[in-house]
Formats: sequence, structure tokens, C-alpha cells
Amino acid sequence: MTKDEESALIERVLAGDANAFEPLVLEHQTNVYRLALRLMGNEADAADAAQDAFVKAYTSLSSFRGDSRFSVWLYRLTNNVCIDALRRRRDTVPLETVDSEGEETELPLPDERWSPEILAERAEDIRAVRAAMAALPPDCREILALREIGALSYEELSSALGLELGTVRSRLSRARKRLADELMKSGNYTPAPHVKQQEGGARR
Amino acid sequence: MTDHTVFEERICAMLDGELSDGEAAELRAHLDECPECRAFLDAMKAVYGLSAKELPEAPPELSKNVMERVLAEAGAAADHPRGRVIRFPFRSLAAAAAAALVLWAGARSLPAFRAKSAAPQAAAAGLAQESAVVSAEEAEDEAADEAAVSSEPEAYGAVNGGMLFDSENPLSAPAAEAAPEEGLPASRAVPTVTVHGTALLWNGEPLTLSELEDELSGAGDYPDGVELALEEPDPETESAVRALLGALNIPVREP
Repeated sequence: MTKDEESALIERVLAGDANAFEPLVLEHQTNVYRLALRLMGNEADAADAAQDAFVKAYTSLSSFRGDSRFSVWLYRLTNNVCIDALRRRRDTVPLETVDSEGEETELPLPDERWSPEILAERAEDIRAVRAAMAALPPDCREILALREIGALSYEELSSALGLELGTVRSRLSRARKRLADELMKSGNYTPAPHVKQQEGGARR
Repeated sequence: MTDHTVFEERICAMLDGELSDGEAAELRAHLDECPECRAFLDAMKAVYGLSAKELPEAPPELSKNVMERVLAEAGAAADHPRGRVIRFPFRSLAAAAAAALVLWAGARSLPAFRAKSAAPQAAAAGLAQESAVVSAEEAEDEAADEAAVSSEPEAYGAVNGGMLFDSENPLSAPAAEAAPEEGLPASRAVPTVTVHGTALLWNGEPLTLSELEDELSGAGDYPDGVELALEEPDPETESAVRALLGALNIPVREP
């Protein structure tokens, strides 16, 4: 869908043609759902959040001013819906320890803490990836998802998350480091049969 | 280790295609002489894009469910002259405002309500049928029935559950009627709500009406009121904002 087609649909919705909203949903539902899935961590909550995000997009469409990409506006909204939902969930279900200051609690590890070979193999293991993602602090998960699923530029991340550009950079870097750490750790409880921790050194 | 941080950030930015030429040149020079950072680059390549990998498609019923709710919203809006976009947040406010005004009906004459109520239709409809002072419960139900054109639960929720007014202090409502339009002496800086066409800004930041509602809902945070700046305002949007401010008992100052 081109930007012009998208704008035309938005105009039609604003003029009262609610059915013109459907192609916009179809166009963006995969990314909105995936973003919600990354943030919420399970399919059922992600589906609910994605639905709420679209309905909220419809009811507040008049506040979309066209000075950002529609997708960016939509992802930002999705992100907010998910954060609200997570907050509500946290009120009812105590989560496992969520530390938002990852850099302070990060363990000092030896320089060669990451093996690209092991990382590459673990990255193919959906269970390991899922576990590593779930172990990320929420701010890391959020910025990674917006960057990699939503394809927001640093500038867009900065305005969507209300962060300085420098903070966008440092947080993304921290998020990926943390992800690599978690992925390396994930071998401890989901060992792929042919990759054992002790053999890591020998493989290099 | 620590002085590599800036290069680590640049490595990520490079993978994201967000590095300036100058920084990229510096980074390349550093990578040539720093095995640690080269290892970091390899690790980052291994996890790059992982957040977006292996994710399923949206469930097939998602768009159907969305459109059912959207069309329900649109259908409800079509029955209501105030229009679609402001409808959703407005209705719950209208119900709450109407309920609170009815609660307080004994103290004021009806014409004043009709003229100045934050929620003229819901309140007037509620009041027209209530010639005498009614019990609070009946009034709430009445207002909710009138306000909730569709039978969606949130309007009821707003009235029966999270009342916007302090239910133990229904007399907080009168200020909602008295305050708007008057203009208060401009003694200190107050936050600004701008209605620009159909768009809303809160101290210059664009937001939706429901976000504005959240922003303003901290009870008693705005004793000096807020400034309402009108820039070729869409009449519906303006009246929705005025209704919101009135319902939240926040004085309006015109610049």
C-alpha cells in the first residue's frame, strides 16, 4: 500500500466510511500483532492487545496528523496499549522479578562471553529465543520490538518513546547485549544436543 | 571495557544503518585494531533482527473482530449527532456528567442545566423525564440509558463503577457548570489545551481525547484551570474538550 493510498483511506474513514478502515487493518495487522506478541509474551494477550490497539486507532484517528508515518503512529499506540495491559496484569499476577535497570544488575562476565557460533545456533532455536526475549527487561523488549518489527528509525523511536537520541542508541545497544547474554545463558536449561557449554572453547 | 561502550553503541547503530559517515569511519578504524569490538560486532550480527524473527502471522479472526467493533462504534456514532471520532470517550463522560448533574438536580433550576450542561443531550433527556428530585440510583440508570446509545458496557462502567465525580461529594459538580466561559485572572502559568482543527495538543504535544482525559484525570491537579487555545477548532472537537473539562470540574481560561 502506498502512502497516498493509505492517506486516502484515512481520509475516507475520517469522513465517516468505517469500512475503509479494513484495508488499513489488513495492511498492518501482522506487525501490530507481532509487536504485541513480543511485548505481551503470549498469543492470547497479544491478540487482545492488537485488537484494542486497532479499535483505539479508529476512535482516535482524527488525532493522527500525518506528520509521522501512519505505521509509526499505530505502533506507538500498540505499544501504549500493551504497556497498560502489562501494568494491569502486573497488578493481578506477580511477575517474575522484572528489573528495569538492567545495566546495574548485569553480572560482570569475561570478555569472551559471547561465542558467535553458539549465538547463531541458539538464534535458530525458537525456544531459546523465546526464553531470552522473555528474560529481557521491558524497556529493552519494547525498543527492540519497535526497531526490529516496526522498523522505526532512531528518530522515530526517540519521539515514540520520548527518549533522547543518545538514549535510543545506548538502550538498543544494551538491549542487544542483554539478549546475547540471555541467549548464551539459555544453553544452561535448554541445551541443544550437539552444543554443550564445555565444548564452546574447543569449537572456536 | 567501559571506553568501548561508545563503540558498542556505534556498532549497533551501524547495523541499524543509523551511523553518520564520520562515525562510521572512526568505527572502522577502531575495529581494525580492536579484537574485542570485532567480537562484539560478530555477536551483534548473530542477535540482530532476532526480535522480529520466527513470529507468527496475525490470527485470521483479528481483522474480523476489529471490524466488528469498529462498525459497532460507527453505527453508534451514526445514531448520534455528535459524530464518530469524539463519540467513544465522550459517551462515558456524558453519562457520568449527566448522572452527577441529575444527582444535584434539586439545587438548581432546569433551564440552567439545559443551557450550560457539559452533556446537553444526555442531561436534558435525563432531566426532562425527571420532573422532581429523583433518587441517585434512578438518576444514574436514567442517564446511562440515555447516554449509552449502544448497549456497550463502558458507559455503564463509567457511571456505576469509576464515577468521574466524587460520588460522596456530588456538590463538586456545580463548578463544572459555573467555571467554563468565565475566564479567570491570569496570575500564573497554566497548562494549555489546544484545539487545532480536529487535533488536540496538551502543552504543544499532540494526543487523543482519551489521552487528554487520562492527563486531566488526576483529581484536583488543576485548581487554576487550563488554558483553552482555539485554532480554527472543529466544533465537535471543541465541544468534546469543553465537555471533558466541565465534567472533570476543571476551570477553562481563554487566552
